[in-house]
Amino acid sequence: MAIERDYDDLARIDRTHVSLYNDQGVYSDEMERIFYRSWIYVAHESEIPNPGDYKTTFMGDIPVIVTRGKNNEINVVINRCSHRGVAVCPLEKGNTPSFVCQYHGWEFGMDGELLAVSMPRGYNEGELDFKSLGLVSAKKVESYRGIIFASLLSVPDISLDEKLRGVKEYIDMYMDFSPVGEVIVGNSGVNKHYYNANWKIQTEGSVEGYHAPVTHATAFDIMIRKMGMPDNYQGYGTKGMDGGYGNNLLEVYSLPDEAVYKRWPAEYIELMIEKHGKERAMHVLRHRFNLVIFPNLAILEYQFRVIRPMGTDKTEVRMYHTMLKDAPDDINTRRVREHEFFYSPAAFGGPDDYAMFDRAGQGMKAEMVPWILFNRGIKSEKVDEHGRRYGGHTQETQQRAPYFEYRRLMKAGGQS
Amino acid sequence: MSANKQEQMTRTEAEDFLFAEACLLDQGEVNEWRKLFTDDALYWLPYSRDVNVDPTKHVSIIYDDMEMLDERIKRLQSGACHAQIPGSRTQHSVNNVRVRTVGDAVIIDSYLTLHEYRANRQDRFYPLQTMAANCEHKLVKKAGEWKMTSKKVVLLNCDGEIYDLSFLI
Repeated sequence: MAIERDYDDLARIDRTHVSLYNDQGVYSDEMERIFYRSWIYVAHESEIPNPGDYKTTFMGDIPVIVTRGKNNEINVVINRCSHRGVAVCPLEKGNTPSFVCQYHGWEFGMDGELLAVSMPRGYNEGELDFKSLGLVSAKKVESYRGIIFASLLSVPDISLDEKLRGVKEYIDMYMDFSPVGEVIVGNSGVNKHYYNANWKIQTEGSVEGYHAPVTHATAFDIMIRKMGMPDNYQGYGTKGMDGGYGNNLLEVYSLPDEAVYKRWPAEYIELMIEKHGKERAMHVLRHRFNLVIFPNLAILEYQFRVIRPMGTDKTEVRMYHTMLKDAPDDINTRRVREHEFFYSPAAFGGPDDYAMFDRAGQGMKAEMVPWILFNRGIKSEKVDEHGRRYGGHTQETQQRAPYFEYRRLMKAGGQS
Repeated sequence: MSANKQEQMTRTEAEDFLFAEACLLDQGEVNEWRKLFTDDALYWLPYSRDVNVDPTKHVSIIYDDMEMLDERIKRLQSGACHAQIPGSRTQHSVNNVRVRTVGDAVIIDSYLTLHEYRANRQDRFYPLQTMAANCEHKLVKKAGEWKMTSKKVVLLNCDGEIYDLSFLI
């Protein structure tokens, strides 16, 4: 009999209990109640553009294959042969007409349907039911602006539309940095990191306004001197926001128009105005933000960041660099240079973050010091016209946000 | 053919250059190491094993002109690069050295075996890291001395999971 934990008490409004980061039982509940029964990011459509394309990834601890079938439909199936449990696809990505398990030759279609088995005459009548022996499919697969989400074991209690309602304007803005409103994800490079601490530290850390001037003093100094980052960016309407259902946002800056012209070359701004209209183009170009789609995706200026729990105390983080479709080459090259400046394993920012996350993994061993604090700015929090809580970007509204959804899903006990 | 006298380098001379460079890195003589580069040089660690990878269209691990390399060195020496607290010890072993001449430049291809360790870590048991790479040093002779116009290091696992490369390679 599993222990039933009081998640209202462990994940409070202004603090979280350190056992949420250490306890194997909590981790198992998170897998069952969040990672297998709510909307999880699996891929962007640009990663599998053609029929037969696939990529393998993980939903929680479960290996899955995201495929594009011959009619362009997108499928998410568990990478586990229905016969003896062997992963049918051994590669990260590729193109194939079908998946053939190389243990006993069972062949599955892009949607997981069992197509054939080797030496079928060895089965007697009634021993092999093709219909029930396909790869297990995710219960629900949907996408928004090419971003594919799936729910593995049950239909989520909210639609994807509802899940994203509070942050769609930011997803739209991210895509509209491209003159044609499309990004290409991962084709221009993927950073593959890991750190020795719990996955939620990266979810919280992807919208961290408070740490930037401390951890990244050296990097911000260079960005301001050399990369057109406004030296007074902290004065430009920055905020942290709860976008609902665990999603949240750190707005890094919201620039006045003259600063937009300093940040981006005039030709790019003109192209954006031509394609999107002046009002929309300038609205997009004024903004820089980090957006978390709870629990495992963060969208930052130049990347899709995918957070993969690997047990209570190890986390894989993949940063899929994004290119803007039909943007001028020099703008995309600038996105390459600015990304690698901050985020590669030898870069000026990322390694310092992972040093902090490793140290968090160390400090949080001290369970007799029970609380992780998220109360900064709680008394001055405001609510915007859409009902979204927000505060200053160095305050902790955005770190409190995931735990509203965390409590909701963890208390539902995986029964939705 | 250029009017300049074509410079030649023997394998022994190439090895002497690479051994001396390794020694500067491993002894922490970073400012002296920087002086081995020309001011228009490139210090490049690609993310891909593909020799045709286009660094304007693909993220690199490092793609430094000398202005950025100077920033990198300044940051490493600032005491505020937290990933380097405590700092790395390195040992660069150079082998399989080959030399070719291309125009006025000499290119040295070599294998690098790199060991890295961090003592004095609070969490203890830092594993001795071993890395393997292919290096390409492009050299020209300036005022009688060989200088690097580019150093390219292609790690064997450049496109794999890497813990941290916050030290100089």
